[in-house]
This record gives sequence, C-alpha cells and structure tokens, in this order.
Amino acid sequence: MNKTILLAACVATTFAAGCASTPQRVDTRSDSAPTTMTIDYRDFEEAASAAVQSMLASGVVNHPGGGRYVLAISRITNDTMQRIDTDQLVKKIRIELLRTGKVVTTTAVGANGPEDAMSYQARELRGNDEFNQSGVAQKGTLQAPDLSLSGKIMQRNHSVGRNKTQVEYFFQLSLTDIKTGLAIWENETPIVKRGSGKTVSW
Amino acid sequence: MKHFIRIAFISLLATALPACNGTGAAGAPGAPARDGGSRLFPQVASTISEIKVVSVRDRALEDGTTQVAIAFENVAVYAVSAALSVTWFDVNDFPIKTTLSNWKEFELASGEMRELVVTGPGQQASRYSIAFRKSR
Repeated sequence: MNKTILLAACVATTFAAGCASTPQRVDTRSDSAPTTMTIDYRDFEEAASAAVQSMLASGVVNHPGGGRYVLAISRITNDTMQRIDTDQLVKKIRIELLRTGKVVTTTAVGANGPEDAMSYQARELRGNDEFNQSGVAQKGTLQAPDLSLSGKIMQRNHSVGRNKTQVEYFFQLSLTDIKTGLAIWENETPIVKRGSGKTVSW
Repeated sequence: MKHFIRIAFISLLATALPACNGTGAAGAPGAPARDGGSRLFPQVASTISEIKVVSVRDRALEDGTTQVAIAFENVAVYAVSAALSVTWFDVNDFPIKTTLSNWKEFELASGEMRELVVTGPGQQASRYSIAFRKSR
C-alpha cells in the first residue's frame, strides 16, 4: 500500500516538474501573446505610435525655418483605475519625435518643475573660483519651449452581458503653441478590451 | 458500451478544444484562400493566404515624410485576426528602429476590405516594407 502511494507521489512530482514553465524573454517586436485587461506595454506603444503618426501627418511639427521645435512636457493625467506611470507613454513619444529631427524636448522646464534639475544646479557654479568659468553655462543660454504636450489617460468599465466586461481606455493628447496658448494638434486613441468579468482591470 | 463511451469522449474533446482557442477559426485547415498578392506589390514582403493586398499607394508629405495607404481584403470564408507591420529603411537601407513599425492588429470578417494609412518616421525613411501575420 505504502509503495503504491510512494509511486503515485513520484509520478505526480514528475508531471508537476514537467508542467512547470521556465521563464521566457519576450520579443517585444513580435509579441503576439493575448492582451491583458489592464494597460500593457503594447497599448502604450500603440497610443504613442498613433500620436506621433498623427503629429507628423498633420505637419504641426514642421518648423518653417527647417529647425527644431523645443517641446516641454506638461501634465499627463492618469484618470484610470490603475497605478501607471504616464512616462511610459510620454517617453515613447519623445523618443520618436527626437528621431524625426523635428522636435527636441527640454528637461529644464516642466509642469512639475524641471525633469533634470542639473541645468539649474550647474549654473550655481557661476562665479565660483574653483571652476573654470569658460565651461559654466552663461546667462540666457537655456532655450524656452515653443510647444507643450499635455493630456489624459481615461478608463471606463462596462458590463457586457452576464459575465463579460468591456474596458475602454482613451489616450487623449494636446499640443499647445506656448506663444498663443492655442492647441494646434489634438488626438485621441481609444483602446477597447473585452474579456471575462472576473478579470481585474484596476 | 465502453467503446461507445470512448468515441463519445474523444468527439467531445475534439469539439471543445477549438472553442478554447479564441482565434481558432482563423487557422481552420482546408478553407479556401488565395494568394495574398505579394508578387503584385513588391513593397509587400510577406503575407498570409487569407489576405489579398488590393493596393499599396504612397506619397510624400510637405516635409518629405512618406505616407502609405494599404488596402487589403479577407478572401477567406471565415473571419481573420491578423496584424500588419511596416518596416522603414533609411537611405543606407538599414531598418529604422521605431515603434511606428510595431504590429498593428486587426480583425476582418469574410470578404471585408480595410484600408490603413501609415505615416513614416520623418524624412530619414527612404523605403518601406509591409508584412502581414496571423494573430494568435
């Protein structure tokens, strides 16, 4: 009897070990795994890609003199039920715009203060005899932004049928001409997911 | 009797398995499908048998950015979940790393046609290549 139990335990252990999956690196370029009900990295990429394509197609980032616009990142509000870092969206947009050679982002000005405080801290070295002053940034060298990017990520949940939930995400973005205060470009990318009502989307 | 139960069980299993797969219908074997038309459009690097590329048109925007309009149709008798990607190449024919090349998922009912407009990553893109794949 004991032998039978022991044998069954051995077989069960072998099967369990065989079923355990080993971690796998995901090729993000061709990931075709099912999506999640929450916002995943593919949603951010899709929203960023749609925003950049819309910006480029509209021509609003074409500088008349052929130069580059300076972009400041304003507030991107997370109005979802999830704890997400909106930089996941903004960073992708910044990278794509920088690559186009049409827009460069300032880290010296931002809605929540400078993203990189070093632009100011390094200027405090001005007049300090310990530092070679030829390398210290002079007054009036920081570039003021021409454009500001702001937006909101929204989430709406709906029950569909008895056991299904529809989760709607809206990635809303605006590009404001700082001189005039006018929104010269606006875009909304909806991403809608439908799945089991038992799936948590918060 | 035992034999009958076994056959019934196998039949039930065979019926239940495809139902678990959300896109099972797209991969149904033996369903009619035609050539995707990749030979007609040299910009289409690869396609799937269910998708027929109807047209590929491009234009240069004011600043030189390329915009491509791709029209395609589901020629299968079932709905297809697939994805499309446009790879952009620079003047040296090197692929440009950009999220604009990410796979864009779509679903097409049988006989449905879709037209997607894709904008390239600025003037640096001088060539593009289109690919289709089935979604899981």
